[in-house]
Amino acid sequence: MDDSHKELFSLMPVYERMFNIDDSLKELFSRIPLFKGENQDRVIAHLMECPIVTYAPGDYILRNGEFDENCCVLLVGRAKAHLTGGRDHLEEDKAIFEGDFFGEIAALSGLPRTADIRADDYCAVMQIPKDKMFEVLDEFPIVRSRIEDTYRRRILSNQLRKVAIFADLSDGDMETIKDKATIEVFRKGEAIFKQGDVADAFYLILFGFVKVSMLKGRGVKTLAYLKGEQHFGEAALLKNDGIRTATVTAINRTHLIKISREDFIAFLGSRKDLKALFSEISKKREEISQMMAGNLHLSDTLEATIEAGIIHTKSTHMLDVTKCIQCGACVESCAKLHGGVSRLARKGVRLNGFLMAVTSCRHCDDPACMYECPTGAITRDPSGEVYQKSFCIGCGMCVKSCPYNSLTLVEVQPAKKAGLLSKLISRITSGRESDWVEVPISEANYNMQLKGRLKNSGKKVVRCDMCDSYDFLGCVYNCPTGAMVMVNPAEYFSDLIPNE
Amino acid sequence: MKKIVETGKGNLNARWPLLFALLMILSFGIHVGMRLWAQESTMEWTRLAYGALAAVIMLLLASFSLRKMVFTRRIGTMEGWRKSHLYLGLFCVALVFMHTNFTVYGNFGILMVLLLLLVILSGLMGELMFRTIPVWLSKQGTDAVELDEKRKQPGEYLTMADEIVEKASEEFKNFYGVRIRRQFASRPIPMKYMWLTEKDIIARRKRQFSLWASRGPSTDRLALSHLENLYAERDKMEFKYARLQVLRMWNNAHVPATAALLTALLAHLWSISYY
Repeated sequence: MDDSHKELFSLMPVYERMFNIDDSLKELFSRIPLFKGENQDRVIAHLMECPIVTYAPGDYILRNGEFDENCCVLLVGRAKAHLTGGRDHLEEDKAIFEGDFFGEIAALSGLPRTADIRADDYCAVMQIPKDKMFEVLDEFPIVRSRIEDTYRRRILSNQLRKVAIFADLSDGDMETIKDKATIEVFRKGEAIFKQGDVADAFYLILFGFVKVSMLKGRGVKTLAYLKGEQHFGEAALLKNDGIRTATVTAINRTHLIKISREDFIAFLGSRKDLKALFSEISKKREEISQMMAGNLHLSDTLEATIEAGIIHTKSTHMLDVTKCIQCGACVESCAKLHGGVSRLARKGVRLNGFLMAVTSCRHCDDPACMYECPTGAITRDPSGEVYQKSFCIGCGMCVKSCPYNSLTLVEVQPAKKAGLLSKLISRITSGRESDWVEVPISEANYNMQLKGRLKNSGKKVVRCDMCDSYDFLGCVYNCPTGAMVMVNPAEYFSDLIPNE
Repeated sequence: MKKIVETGKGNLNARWPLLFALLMILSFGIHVGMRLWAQESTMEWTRLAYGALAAVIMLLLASFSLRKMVFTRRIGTMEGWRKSHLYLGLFCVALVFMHTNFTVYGNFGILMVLLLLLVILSGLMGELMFRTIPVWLSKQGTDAVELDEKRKQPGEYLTMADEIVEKASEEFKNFYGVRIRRQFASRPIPMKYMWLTEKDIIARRKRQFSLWASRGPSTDRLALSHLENLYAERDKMEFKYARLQVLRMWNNAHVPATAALLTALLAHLWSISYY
């Protein structure tokens, strides 16, 4: 591509660019290996409406860690995938050429991006939205097998290298594991294995959280929760009886790498050092389990954080009730900042003697509200924050699906005409006047609303948006005692994570 | 995610007490130094400066009530404002006494000092109450909003009591209608519960119910015991509500006293500029 062509390329609208680059759309598609062997006309008919985005050299096409669920096909140009992790956080670049596809991991799993992809040259990228991609997978079996195969290969390459225990493995050993491993997905609350089962596999968490619990006495004691890049299930494999000593349950949608008992034992047979390391970890975990099982308070707190859906969320409000003076400033400031209705209630789940997980949007990793939304108005920004777009029709499906009762349905009404003095006070105290106010909807109205689901109702759902339009968090900033905080639970409760 | 508040990393709680201690040492050091070594006129100027500083601080402290009305502007955290209000308030007392050279002259001087002490004591009392009562309520599993909501519906207990009595004998119904029902129908005055301990309340209830038991029909003891349980529940709620009212009443002491002090301060400033 010469310079004049590049300039033209950057100025032209997307579709014009497509037809001016080299070939017709059909010819372009015929060069994409992913679609080879399928009926080109049908593939084009399916993907015709997918946006094509252009990038200049150095531009980020995808960013590691961001939430974005498009699968991408590089139509023109050259890009580079930048991977980090593994031994001493080694960094590695992999070239992506015309016709290659990428981004299928996030699209298939709903998880954040696992690598940075940057344009190496002027690029045109077709972005296939998640729902469209699933349509294509259903319609074209060859495409499906190619995407799934690549997904498995890439996810194993990307994620295995990040696991500390596999950090020193040679490339040959890594290939052996990749050959033997399978990927399994568990739903929220699904048991991966139960106490007393015969151990049949070793597991490594790709994404998600699991809970380790044990039946002790009359009750079930929660011993630990494990998150991405941690492993479990090796203890029973290394013991002679091979019986599971604890139950492991998925806390949210969890992706696991599974290596069967035979393959795992065979692999450890050739790597004595790794076997010793696993034995040591098992021993430490056994000690932690005993400590947790004996510490009722710690075990109960851990269970409460899991039950309240806190551990696996991106952020949550925490209220220290020993500091809270119940002045209501948090709720009042939230209401003042957001058109009259607070997104936060000073009630919630007590985690222990002094902490309360306040009822407000948890910005879950796998937001049920987003999956249930019939119009697609609920979405996630790259940082993982869940929010509504303006075309929310107020059907209330998300309110019903939220397991933590964190959403509120409100009616949007024109604000009453304020007097001069009220306007002045409003200007001074809030800095802005709203022409619209949000009014909470009563239970009865809400039920009526659900009956007429898909009609636009002049109502909308509100949730904590972390004071997106302000540079401070209203409830935290206005708490006079510092009782209200917004935390990343995984870090905040890191003391509860077993440290091996 | 953005805006995550990092907690448990470094202790900022000591910042204000340290600043307070530093200010106290510094101001007291200057005051003592002046008394020992400086000339009378220099000392006079220092005392005037202390007075002016105390007046400025008082006005700043009063602006806390404005901060409490502004939730949507970035003008410092509420926690910072509260702590500064507390520690600068205490520092202000020391400044005032150094300004008067630890002696009070005339009726107006006595009035000002009394008002200042009233403000300070009510402030400290408030701090103490706000540190204890809400935590006590939390430990009881109650929230102020919930209590207010419950108390808005006094008829709830009456309805429940009526339901209990509905199943009892005619004789008990008559007895209940005459004596006990009005107790459930009335809304207790918080003041009544403010000065009583939980022990007193239990003893009073037990006395009352044993009296009713002795005077009422000998049948339907179970209904009476259910009524007593219901009454105990209401007592508990009223007891908590009374404590909450104590908190709210505190504002009625601190804020008017502050207003009176500021008025006296203005009069004082006007008088010194006049003479």
